[in-house]
Amino acid sequence: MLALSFDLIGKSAAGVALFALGLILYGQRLRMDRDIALNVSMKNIGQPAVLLGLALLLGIHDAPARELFLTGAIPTATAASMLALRYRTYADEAAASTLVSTVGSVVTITLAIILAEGLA
Amino acid sequence: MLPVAFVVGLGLLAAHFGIIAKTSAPMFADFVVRFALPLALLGGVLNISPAAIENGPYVLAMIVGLMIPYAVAFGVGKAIFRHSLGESALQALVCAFPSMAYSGLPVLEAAVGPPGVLAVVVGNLVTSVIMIPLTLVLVQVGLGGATVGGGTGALVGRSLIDAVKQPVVWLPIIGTVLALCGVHPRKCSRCPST
Repeated sequence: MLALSFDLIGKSAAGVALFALGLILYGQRLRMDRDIALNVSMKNIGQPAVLLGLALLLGIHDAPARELFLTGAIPTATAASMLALRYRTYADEAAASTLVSTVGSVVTITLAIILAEGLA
Repeated sequence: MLPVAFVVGLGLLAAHFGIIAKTSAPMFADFVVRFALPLALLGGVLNISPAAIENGPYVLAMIVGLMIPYAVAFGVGKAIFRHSLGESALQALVCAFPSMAYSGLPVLEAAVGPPGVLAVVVGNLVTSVIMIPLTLVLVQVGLGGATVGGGTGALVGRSLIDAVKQPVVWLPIIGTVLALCGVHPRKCSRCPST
């Protein structure tokens, strides 16, 4: 009962956040500045690389190594933009980065899945 | 990806046609950060079983692997881009917080099968208990430092208290403690989070 109650409102987090992301992005010019470039490359490429490196370093192989690697490749959470918006700090950059990270993940996640299959 | 584009598109259209003003976006953010997200994170951490964190190297790799990009982005934002403390912390969060439950579950389940869910559970633990609280503390220190004087120790202490008061911080932490003590709601492996 309690779990269902939490679930009911918790589920709305992702949808409402995406909708709000659309609101913030409206009227924002599509741009690629150094902040967005750093954020997206760090998230979509840097983080999976770090996680893969650590997995190898710690002797983690097979499925767990693939899981760690792919977890890193997942695009930025909308929750980051919501926190930025709530504190009126870094909100535009966060929203734009989240969008570019998500769109870019179509390519980076696909590559990551292909690479992961090659992980022995 | 398409569902994401659809919902973001609805938000864009709502702003375009003046149905919902762009200026009300912070209200939605308040709803997410103060109500929906804490409960989503709670649902995520309640799925942890003590067994999930028994695999030391795996948990270590997840913690360090998620936090290294955070630290690097924070450093670059602060030292090179000359952002404020709060801006650098939020930039770090953007660089290091994967949308685990939402984008992650389908990807991990498709690529590695049900064990992939473990990555989401452990990953959620790291973001809920370490990354988000750390970000809020840094943001609060930044906000506090800009307005009032006082010693650094007092400022950090006050910011810690301000951050811990946020449900998005204390709810997942309590949930983690409960889950690790063996308190479990009915199993829901698909509880969404971010």
